[in-house]
Parts: sequence; C-alpha cells; structure tokens
Amino acid sequence: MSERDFVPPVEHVDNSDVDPLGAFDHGEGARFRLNFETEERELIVRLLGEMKDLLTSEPNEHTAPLLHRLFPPAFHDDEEKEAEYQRLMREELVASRVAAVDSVSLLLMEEGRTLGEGETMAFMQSVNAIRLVLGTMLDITDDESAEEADINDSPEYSLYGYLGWVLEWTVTALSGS
Amino acid sequence: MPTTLEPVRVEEPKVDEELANDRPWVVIVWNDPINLMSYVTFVLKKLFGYSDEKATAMMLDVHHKGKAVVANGNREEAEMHVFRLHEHSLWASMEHDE
Repeated sequence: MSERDFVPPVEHVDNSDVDPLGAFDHGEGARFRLNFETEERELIVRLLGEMKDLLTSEPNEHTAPLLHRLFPPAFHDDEEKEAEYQRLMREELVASRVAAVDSVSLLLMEEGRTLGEGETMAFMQSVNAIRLVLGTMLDITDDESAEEADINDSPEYSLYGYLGWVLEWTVTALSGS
Repeated sequence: MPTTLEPVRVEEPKVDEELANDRPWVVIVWNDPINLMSYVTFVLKKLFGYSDEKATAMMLDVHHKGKAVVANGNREEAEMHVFRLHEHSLWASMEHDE
C-alpha cells in the first residue's frame, strides 16, 4: 500500500466535511470518522459484547484476574478504606464502563456516521479496556513480555497488536483536534 | 457538664484524627506494560488539563521509575481522581503524602 492510499482507522474531520445527518451534538465541536471495514466493525462490536458479559457477570476463577485489572485497588495499604472505595465506587465504575460499551456498540453499527469528541473518547476507553483484558489474558506483565507480544504473530497477539494500532490512531486523532 | 467558659479539655486522639483527615493525599499512577505511552499521556492531559510537556514528563516517570504522583488533594478529591483514572483503565491508587 502506498502512503497516499493509507487511511487511518480513526481520523479527525473538518466540520465542513461532515454529513449534516451525522451531526449529533448540533454539529459543533470536533468530529471524527471511523474508517473500518464491515468485518472490523463486527469484530469490535463482538469484543464489546464480550466485555459487557465480563463486566456484568459474577467473577469466577478465570475472570477474577481480568476484573482485578479493570477495577484495581485504590488503597494499597489500608484494607478498610479499600473496602469502602470498592463498596462506593465499584458499581458506578461498572455502570460507566457498561454505558460506554453500549453507546460505542450502537455507534459502530451506524456505518458512515461521524462521532463527536465525547463519543470518540468513549470509543477510545472501550477499545483500551478490551486491549487491557486481552493483554492480561496473554500474560503481558512486564516490558519483556510486552516486547515479545509485538513480534508474536499468533491470532491472539495479532488482535492485541491490531487494537493497539486502532488505539494509537484514536489518540492521535483526539490529540490533533 | 462544664458550667463555665473555661477551656474544655479535648481528647487528644480526636485532634490527631482530624489532622490526619486533613493531610493531603497523593494520587499515584503505576507502571503497567499494556497501556500505551501515548494513551497515558493523553489521559493525563484530558483529566487534569496538563500541558503536553507536563503530562509527557509524568508518563515517562511512570514508565522509568515505576510510578508517579499525578495529582493531590483531600481524600474526596483524590478518590474522584482515582475513580476517573480507573474509568480510563490506568493503574491508579492513592495514599497519604508522607
């Protein structure tokens, strides 16, 4: 692929370039476009569905480490305060993550629609959460295993790399707006 | 019950507790090998309004030193910062500023 043909997965678009029907927040502010193939949209929607299942089901021995990474302790040396934080914040954190996953799933199914900044932030957070869970499942625990993940081309690692690529471009698009 | 306006002796532990509650808390982000450096920098800029330079310096501290203080405040403020960092999947915690 020549450089000229390259289309980033997520890009910041000029307001003048936006389909008026796609304007969600009154057409004001930065707009972003997702340039995904249908298969990519379907893949991300499926992963978001799995993320929602993980967030809303009772933890078991397989999901406990993943949930621990999604909901890390706020207090490392005070069990009482930590229990209080989890009691007060955990539910809200789950609700916030589920709301982001739901809205991003809907956005992805509307092909051609541009996203506002808040929607693009929700997309970024959700893709990052999926990548975090996948990375935890792949046992990426230090810089060495992270470097190995970069060169491993098995399907799971390829997916991990792909999500990193999407995320990198999302951050770039949001930073440039 | 005291009947004069003379100072009443206050139990010392209560004073200590209040002082402890007022002590500022620091919010720490810990290094992790999964979150992208660009992502961490962006989240710090977005949540705390830091300049690119400041957020990048904090991210590099996290990466090289294993952790960095990214914010401080009273307990309630610090908890809100930690919550928002957790929403963005950063490995954040809080502790008393020693």
